[in-house]
Amino acid sequence: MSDPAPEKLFSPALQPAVRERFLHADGDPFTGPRAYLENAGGGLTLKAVFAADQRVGALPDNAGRDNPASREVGRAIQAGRADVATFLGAPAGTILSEQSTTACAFRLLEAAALGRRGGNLVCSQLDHASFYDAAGILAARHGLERRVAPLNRATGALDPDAVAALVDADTAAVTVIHASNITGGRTDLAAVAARVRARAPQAMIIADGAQHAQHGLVDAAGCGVDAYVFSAYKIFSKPGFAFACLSERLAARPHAQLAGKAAADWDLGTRDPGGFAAFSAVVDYLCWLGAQTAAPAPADRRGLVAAAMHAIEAHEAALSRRLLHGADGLPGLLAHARVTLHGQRDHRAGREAVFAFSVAGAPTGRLVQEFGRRGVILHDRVSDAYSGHTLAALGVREVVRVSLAHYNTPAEVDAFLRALRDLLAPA
Amino acid sequence: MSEPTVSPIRLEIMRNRWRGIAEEVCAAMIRASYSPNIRDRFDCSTALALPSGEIIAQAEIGTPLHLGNMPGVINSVLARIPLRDFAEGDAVITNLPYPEGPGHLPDVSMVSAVFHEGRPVLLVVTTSHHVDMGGYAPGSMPFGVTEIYQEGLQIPPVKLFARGVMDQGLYDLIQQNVRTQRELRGDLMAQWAAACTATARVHELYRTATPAEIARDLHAILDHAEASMRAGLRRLRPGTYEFEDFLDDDGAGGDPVRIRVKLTVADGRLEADFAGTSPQVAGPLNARITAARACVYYAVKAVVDPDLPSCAGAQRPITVRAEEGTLLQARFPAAIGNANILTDQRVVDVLFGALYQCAPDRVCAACSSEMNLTNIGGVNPATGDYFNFVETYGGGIGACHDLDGEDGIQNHLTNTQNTPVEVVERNYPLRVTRYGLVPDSGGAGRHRGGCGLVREFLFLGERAIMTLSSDRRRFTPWGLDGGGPARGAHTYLTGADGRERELPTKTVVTLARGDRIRIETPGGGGWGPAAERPAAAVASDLRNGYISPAFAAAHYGAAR
Amino acid sequence: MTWRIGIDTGGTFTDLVGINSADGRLLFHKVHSTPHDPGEALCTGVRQLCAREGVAPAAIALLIHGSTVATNAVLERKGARTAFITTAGFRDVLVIQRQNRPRLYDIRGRRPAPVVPRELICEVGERILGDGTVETPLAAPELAAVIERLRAARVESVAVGFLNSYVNPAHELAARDQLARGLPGVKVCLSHEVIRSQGEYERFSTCALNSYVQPKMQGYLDRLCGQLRAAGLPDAPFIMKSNGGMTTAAVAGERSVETLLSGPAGGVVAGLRLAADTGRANLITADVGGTSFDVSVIHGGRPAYASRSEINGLALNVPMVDIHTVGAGGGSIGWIDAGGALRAGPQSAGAVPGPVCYGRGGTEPTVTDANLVLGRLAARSNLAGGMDLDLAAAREAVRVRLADRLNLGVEEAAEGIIRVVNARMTAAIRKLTVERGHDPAQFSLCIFGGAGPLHGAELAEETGMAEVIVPVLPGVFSAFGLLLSEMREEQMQTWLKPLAGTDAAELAARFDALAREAAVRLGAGADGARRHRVDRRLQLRFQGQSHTLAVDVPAGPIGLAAVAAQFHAAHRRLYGYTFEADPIEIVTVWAVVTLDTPPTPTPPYVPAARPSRIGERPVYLEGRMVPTPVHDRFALVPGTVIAGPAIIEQPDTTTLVLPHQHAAVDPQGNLVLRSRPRT
Repeated sequence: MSDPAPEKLFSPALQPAVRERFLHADGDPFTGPRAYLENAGGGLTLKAVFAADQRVGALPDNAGRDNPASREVGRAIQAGRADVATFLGAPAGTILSEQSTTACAFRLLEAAALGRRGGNLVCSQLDHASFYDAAGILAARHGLERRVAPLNRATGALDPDAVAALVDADTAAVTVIHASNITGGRTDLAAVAARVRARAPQAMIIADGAQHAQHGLVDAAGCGVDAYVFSAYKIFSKPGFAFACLSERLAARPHAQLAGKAAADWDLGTRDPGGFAAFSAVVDYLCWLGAQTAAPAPADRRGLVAAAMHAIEAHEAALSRRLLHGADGLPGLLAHARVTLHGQRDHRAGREAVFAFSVAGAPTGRLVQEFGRRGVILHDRVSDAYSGHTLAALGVREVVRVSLAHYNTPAEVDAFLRALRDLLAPA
Repeated sequence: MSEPTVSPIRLEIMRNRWRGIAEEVCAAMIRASYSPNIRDRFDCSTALALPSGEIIAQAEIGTPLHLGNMPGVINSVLARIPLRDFAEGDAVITNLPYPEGPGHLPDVSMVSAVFHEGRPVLLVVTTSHHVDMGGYAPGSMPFGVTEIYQEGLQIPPVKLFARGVMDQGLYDLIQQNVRTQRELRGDLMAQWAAACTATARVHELYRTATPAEIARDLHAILDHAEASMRAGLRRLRPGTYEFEDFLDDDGAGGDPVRIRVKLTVADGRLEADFAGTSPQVAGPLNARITAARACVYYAVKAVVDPDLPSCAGAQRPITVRAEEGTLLQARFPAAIGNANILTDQRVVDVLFGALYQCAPDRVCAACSSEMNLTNIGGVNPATGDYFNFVETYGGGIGACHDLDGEDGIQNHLTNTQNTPVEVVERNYPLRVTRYGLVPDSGGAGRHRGGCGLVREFLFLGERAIMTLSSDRRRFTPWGLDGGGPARGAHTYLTGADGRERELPTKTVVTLARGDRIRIETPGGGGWGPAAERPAAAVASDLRNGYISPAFAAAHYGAAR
Repeated sequence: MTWRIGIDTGGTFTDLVGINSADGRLLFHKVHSTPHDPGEALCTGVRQLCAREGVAPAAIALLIHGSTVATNAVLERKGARTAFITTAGFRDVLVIQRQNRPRLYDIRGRRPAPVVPRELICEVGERILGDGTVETPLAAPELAAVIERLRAARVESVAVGFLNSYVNPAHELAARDQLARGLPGVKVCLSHEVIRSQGEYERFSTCALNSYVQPKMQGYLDRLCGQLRAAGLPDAPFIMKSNGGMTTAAVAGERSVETLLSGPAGGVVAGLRLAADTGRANLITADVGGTSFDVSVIHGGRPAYASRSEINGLALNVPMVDIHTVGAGGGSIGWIDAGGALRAGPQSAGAVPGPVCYGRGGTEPTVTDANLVLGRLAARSNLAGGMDLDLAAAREAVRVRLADRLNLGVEEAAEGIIRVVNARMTAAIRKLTVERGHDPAQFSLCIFGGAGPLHGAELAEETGMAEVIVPVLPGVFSAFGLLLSEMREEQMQTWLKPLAGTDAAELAARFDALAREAAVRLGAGADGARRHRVDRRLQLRFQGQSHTLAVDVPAGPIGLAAVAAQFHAAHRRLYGYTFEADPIEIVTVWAVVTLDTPPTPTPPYVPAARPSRIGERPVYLEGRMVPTPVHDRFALVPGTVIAGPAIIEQPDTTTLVLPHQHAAVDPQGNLVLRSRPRT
């Protein structure tokens, strides 16, 4: 994790093949051609996802019946769970599926907090609201303390020591965001987990990978967390599904379930089998991508997924350099005096392809509109229920966000830089 | 197993909480009322009582006389309508002093019960002096009458509200007999609003504790009051003390009326026996013993300790006796309209005279002690409506052993505010032409008595009926410890022709346009020989116009 | 020119709070008050603050001063030798007041002496009637004789109050002209100019109070401006008023009566800002001082105003923030009454001798001693100016005076003092909420003052309020309010008229006339050149009632039906019912003009980078000593949630979080205490 990511754009042949597999990669169904650079809010969806969802979703009868159709539904669900484990690099054990990352956050944190009156929950200013608020509400409800680790304003990331300083023998749980959906700052999960375990072996470590999952290989078992959560729709699947792998000790904590079910079973009622089939389609795609980019192609699905994620990381790193520093005579984001980048300026060190910037004197709402009119889809983060605490910690009221994905092309980055140059040109 | 006692901490908290509720309920009634008598002059009271009728807490903003009558009101209501016949949302009203109840017909009391889990747990009582209750003269406190039937509408305990709905027929019957309909409705609704406020607050309290805990609190509050009163009474020198004083006449042109008391103070007990008081009289100055009790409770609290709680517990160590058929326990249908205004104030003076003998440093000399009620009613030419202007006037407070008396102020059983001069002339066909202190009216002494008040009106309407209820012209306020008596009450009527005549102290007269009425109330008695008043004090009295040079010469020696 | 400095003069200390209006940086300073010449402490304090913080006098844009000179002049009867001239036949209106005794059962209770001795109250032949017509013209010869007497008596000021001058002020104005010629240089104050409303005693009393304190206030302000000039500091301080606004020294020197009771107003202004910053509409502000507990209501984002009040028993009818005060605070003394009940206050140990634990000769156990015995207060505390508190002495006083006589444990007795004083504070809060138709559950309690945050948690629970807010700096919260004050002038006039059938245009014209008058005093220029905003208010009642209800009249054309509807709603909220059909009467037209002053930013909250948990100590809670974590408030990061029981310490106060509560730090750094749902 510590060596800077290699930069390597997809080959000219591979790039179109990748985009071709995604719905609306080139144009918006209503407004036509545009560069979609708002991937942090939910990326584009693979065509294969809908196919798989429809196929399995249409099968009559629920799983667990003694007929071929029911058996196929059961198979799809089991295959989906296995693919989640493969994707996360998680050991066998409980795979939780829920409506959203936020739902997972509340269920996992409540399990950690129940019965621990007088203890504390440690979160950080970089946490997404789903974990930040869950920690606050559940601390209040169950008589615990919520401790907030300050973010590093210079890097827009979270220093492991800032988290460790707040952890003690009474810490029930620690929530750690793997990468910020605002600054793109990436957290060294393994370092945080190691320090927390040293000071508070009893503390459950819950990682929020919703933002990071599409940008880099996840090694849940390797980094020593008790849970790794992500949203399926943020890695090319359909909304309504979030997955998490749970360590045995976390899975054994008291949680809501049917009385008769096994302790490790966290699913509440029948889950939509289509969702599991959809995620298997995502892993199938990653295996295809891995085979295209690794030579020789690994034999197992986990190996192929790993190869795909490394290729994605390298491609996005190259796009990031182009966006920050420009190319072909186009000035990069950092070249403009009126632009302030909030977060790490080095595209290779501890950050992902998500950039928060502000332009002196220009309200972010109007900037997003102007970029939109120039065919570049962005988004702004304001001091609302979702980002208020993080922006306050950064000492800023609102920012514009540009976030890339592996299906974006250098041309789309240039479209952004051209629009930026035109907007900042003196009238 | 003895009842778990209430801690001194919870006792203090709950004692204040209950008193707070009584005061809040009274404040709600005052704010919502219509007549100037309630909203400006606070001539009303509120109390909360146990179902047994024992008063737990009272608002201290009202008049002490109402407060003393509350137990009688509850007894008479429960005697006629037992608690089991009360439902949530019922309200019983009465103004009948017989056999016991409010002091006179204008005082209408409303009693309702607060329920918890279907059981009545508390009684709420409000008393308001309504501007008019019919009868011979506006204000329902006429002279020239000898029986209660002539004084106004008598309302025995009867349900005006049943389950929150007003008995419109009963209301119409009352309204028909009353001159000021708008004030009647406004003030009655204000009493009803007060009852609703009380119900809400008591329900809130019952959400914070069990009925058993609250019952224990209430009994602890009564026991605490009893202990406080007994401790206070022990500060008086035991013994028996007698005193008497006189009303100028019997309110029907008859002879002076004696009021006599024998006070027995023993270890933490006090008994007031009014034996020797005149038989009931022809005029409207009779009272029932509930009024006499109110006077005793007031006098003991004022003399022993003004901070003593005013509830049933504090009254346990006190017994009051008056023989049936005497002035203070008159038989029905004796006229009672002006007892509140004159008789009861004199009973307090008599009690102070007795208490002087066992606690000289805690009493004051006789005060103006006659409320000098002035009631002017008629048709207001500006509006065509019936108006009824009623005021009582303060006078001088008697001097204490170490303190001059206060000038121009309400004393003893009333504390009503005046109506601003600028408000009178905008709302009534009357113009106030003079309002101030009466020099030379305070008793001379080492400490001088307070000066009386002068209030002069010009009548601008066509025709009106004025009732004047005053006293202390012949028997003026006495001094103590060698202090001189104060000047008495005088009221003059000057016709449009400029001829001035002095009116009798108790009368009903008809006013015509241009008539001018000047009311001068008594001062307060002096304390200690006048010769001992320091020269500087006399000089200051002269400089400030409290006394004239002639008065100074006559009482303090010219050489000074 | 970026600094605003507020100087709040108190009995023992003068608190100074400075803020940089560019970046919101806060500075504090505290000096001993100099009652003989308050200006001395003021100048010393400002000079020391600037020197310590390197602020150049030229950088001070604004000095705002909360003065008690006028209030003390009345309380200690050290005002000017003033005379009062009134209508013949009404010499004793000031003496008789409203004819009732201050306390019902107290025959020895005396009304406080008026500020004008009877020998200096003079009558003059004149009479104006209720409709403004002149019945008797002003008798100039009689006035001339009075002037002679007053010249001989060497009076320093003269108040003039004639009947019905609120309708027709002609005679008062004529009297001033004659007085100006006869007594040159002697300040004359006319009753209709102080407050133009009906009610002769209240109007005359307010006018006499102004005449009584005005010379002293003017002298003080002139001297102060001189002292400031001499110290090289800006010499045009603004003066805090009881309506929460501020005015120039010149106007305060004229209408000094409006600075009476201005002390607690600062806390309300600061409460308004806190409400706005945290998006709350309903707030109870409660200031727990050494001897007094001041409470006010902010409902729908607006403070409650009163137009009738009193000072030291004398009527004072000027528009002011409605503050209810009871004698309860850190210095309240615990005692046992004749009936064996435990009482707390209203007697107070005051600043001297002060609580037993201050070790300055106090023998009676106080609320502060009780908090120390219970462990809520630390022995090492800055409350008393940074000295150690004597726990042993406090325990001994509680044991000997209370515990042994009530056969209770020392902690039990100490907790008893706290619960009893809390009950009196709760009663004061209920008076402003429950008794006015407000449901406490919809309010938050903003508690401040040195001793406040120790009591906030329990007060909110007893009154049924949802949450308690402890501002960042409770110890200087009202001094901070001075910095947020705006230039404000108010003008009221009695106008008795049925609401129905009132010509909206005529009513609007009356509002405009009053607003112009107030704007001129505000220095907004006759043409209202300087930007200002006008708030319009009507006091209404049912014809026949006396108490009025205030209704806000929004800008733009006046909708009489809307005004009536607002009145009915307010009447129903307050009394539970209304008379839809009954005629409503206008009583007072009331215009409030506020000058747009550049807003002072709320200082940003930047937590200190140090561990927040600083220890643990036993605290007596729910009947036993409970080990309770202690936190350093200024190290708490916004978003932190602390579970009770907990003690949160800061230099100027201590906050108690009860076992079943939690405290959350909001973005502005306020502590928000809420009860956990009882699981």
